Amino acid sequence: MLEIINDYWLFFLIGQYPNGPIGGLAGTLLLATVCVILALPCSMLIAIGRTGTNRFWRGITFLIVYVMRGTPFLMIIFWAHFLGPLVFGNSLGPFWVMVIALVLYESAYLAEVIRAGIQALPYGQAEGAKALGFSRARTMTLIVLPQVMYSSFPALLSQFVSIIKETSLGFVIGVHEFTFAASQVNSILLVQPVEIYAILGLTFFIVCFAFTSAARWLERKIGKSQGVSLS
Amino acid sequence: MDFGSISVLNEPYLTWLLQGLRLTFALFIFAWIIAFVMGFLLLLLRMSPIKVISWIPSIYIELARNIPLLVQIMFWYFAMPMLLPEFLQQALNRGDSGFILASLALGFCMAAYFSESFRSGVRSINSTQVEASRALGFSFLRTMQYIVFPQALRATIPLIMNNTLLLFKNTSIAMAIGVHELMYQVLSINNDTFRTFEIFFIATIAYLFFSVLIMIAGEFAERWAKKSRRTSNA
Amino acid sequence: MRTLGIKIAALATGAFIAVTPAQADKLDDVMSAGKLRCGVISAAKPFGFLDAKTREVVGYDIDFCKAVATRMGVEIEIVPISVEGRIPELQQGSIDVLAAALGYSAARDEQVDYTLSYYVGVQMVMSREGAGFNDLASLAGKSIGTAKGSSTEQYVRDIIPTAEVASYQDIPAAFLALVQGKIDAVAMTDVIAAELKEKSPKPLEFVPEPLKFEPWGIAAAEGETRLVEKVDAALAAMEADGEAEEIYHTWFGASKERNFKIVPISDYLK
Repeated sequence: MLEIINDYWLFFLIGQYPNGPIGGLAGTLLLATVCVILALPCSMLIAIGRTGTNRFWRGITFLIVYVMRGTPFLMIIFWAHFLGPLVFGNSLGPFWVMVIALVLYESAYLAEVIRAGIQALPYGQAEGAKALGFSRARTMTLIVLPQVMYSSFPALLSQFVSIIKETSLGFVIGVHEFTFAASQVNSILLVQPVEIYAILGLTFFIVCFAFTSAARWLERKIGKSQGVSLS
Repeated sequence: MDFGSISVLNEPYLTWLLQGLRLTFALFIFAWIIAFVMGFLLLLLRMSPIKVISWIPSIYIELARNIPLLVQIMFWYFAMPMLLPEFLQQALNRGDSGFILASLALGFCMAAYFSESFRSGVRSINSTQVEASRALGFSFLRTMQYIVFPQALRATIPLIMNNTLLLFKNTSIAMAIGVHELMYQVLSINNDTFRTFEIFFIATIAYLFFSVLIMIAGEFAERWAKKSRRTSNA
Repeated sequence: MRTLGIKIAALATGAFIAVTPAQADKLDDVMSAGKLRCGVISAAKPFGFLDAKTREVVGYDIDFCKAVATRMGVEIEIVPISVEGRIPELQQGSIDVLAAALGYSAARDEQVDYTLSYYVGVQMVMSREGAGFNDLASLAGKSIGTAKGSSTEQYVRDIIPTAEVASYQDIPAAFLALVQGKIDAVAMTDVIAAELKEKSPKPLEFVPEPLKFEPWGIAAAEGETRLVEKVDAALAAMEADGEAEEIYHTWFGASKERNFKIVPISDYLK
């Protein structure tokens, strides 16, 4: 197994770059990071809709969350694969299709984490803001969300681990990430699946376990746990 | 995109879809049973007084929860059999190895989640309950049987329903190793007919329908759990 | 808060409208960008496979792409894609042409436009040695592995209706399943199978009766006639001055005789 790591480590790490798109572990982490950056604002909007007073937005966000919770992620990937380019234009490669799928799916889950955080915040905070004349929008942006983001951070970090794991499904539509890089090495070596999948699994384990442990440590530091992890 | 002639539901595609649905359920049931039993075993191992034994579940759970399910399934299907002795490999191949290995992979992975849910449920019970029952002369096993588990069940069921939903959705990943479940059939039909929107729409409705059933069952379970815990733990 | 929702909806609609582009002819896009994006497969030696040292995808298909691009006067961008994603990616426009072991079929012809045929392949079935499959009929009821989205799936279903088709994510996965005894046989292009047979730890053998004779073409999205004409012109020029034959011998060996020429696919359909 060590010879394989020795021969192909650069490929596992960054895929074919610069002779091709960025892949490998770098591709995976890039996908996950881009997803979080785009999904967080969306999920905040959804969470606000879910806890708001407007029945229309409550209904729509409720639907979004429950459709995403009820559909297998693989199905959403294929939807994004076939519909994404129709909506967003022609040059959408697998990377951005995967980003769209991840953002759609994960904003719903992140929204649930944030919603739990919003509902766990003592009502006195929002009451005080209202008494001081803050509009609902300003209450959210200046009072509620900053505190919620701070206290939900461990749960959000756990969700980030789920995002990293979900990027591996991009393999089925040819996204250049870590699992795809492993399959390409597999196509050269052909009959060493044990070593290749062991390398794949252990690397994911090391990366994800590092983040999970960080999340646990942060949770202890912050001192309160935030609701049920949805993954 | 034409909805007029629902050609995707004609033969032979309808048979494919139904076969896919059947396999999805079979995979779901087998994997659920494996996950439940293994999850329970892991819980018992955790409670062992011997330190080394109580660490095994922790290692197992961390591995299962931090490695993507796709990677786990591919490992079970392609790599794991090569570690088995020849006669076991052949026995496996005589059956439907894809289905068996996918069930095992899915079951063992979700066992970690089930075990964490069980643990959450058990921990929700105040330790004074256990102390009191031991003081009254209940053995460890009887304490578990009559005091802890019945109450833990009520806390655990909502979490288990959540895990069950996840397990159901994750059956779709078995398509990567050639198991003819619903997702696999959907892609086969699409490759044949190119009627992408139709077939994906139908399949999404199918998945949503059963997911919603599980979610509704979960809601009922959660309400029953809250109702039964009227009295707070002393 | 009441107006916040309306503002968000307006923003979203505006963004949606702004981002949806107008359609343009693909050839114009290629020429103005100065780049031809060519979709290839990266796990089918010798047509498209990964070179371990250079971390580049190389092969017969890639060389054809590069030569066509040079003759068209544009740069080449090689985009490795999955077997299953070949036609969808082409239809969605993330690639301009496909040189990805795409066999001709009437169903596919409705989805894409084919150029002249640049390779003629034979689909064969391969099993473990000693399995005793002497002809295609003996495979009735057996499990045959293919790559998901390949034309082979349809051929097996048409020619051996009772066989069980097991489709994997790529060709090496199907091959591994065969070696591990999970399936009875695999079906794919003969030269790809021959490469795998060489590397196989367990002895494999071909079923003597060929499954299907299949001309391959470079494909462009449906309706892109100008692009197809340009590629056809390049291919014809390559045939005329011998470059096509040179590429063949690079990948198939100097001694192997090339038993086809670059002609329209319709020639084979008569």
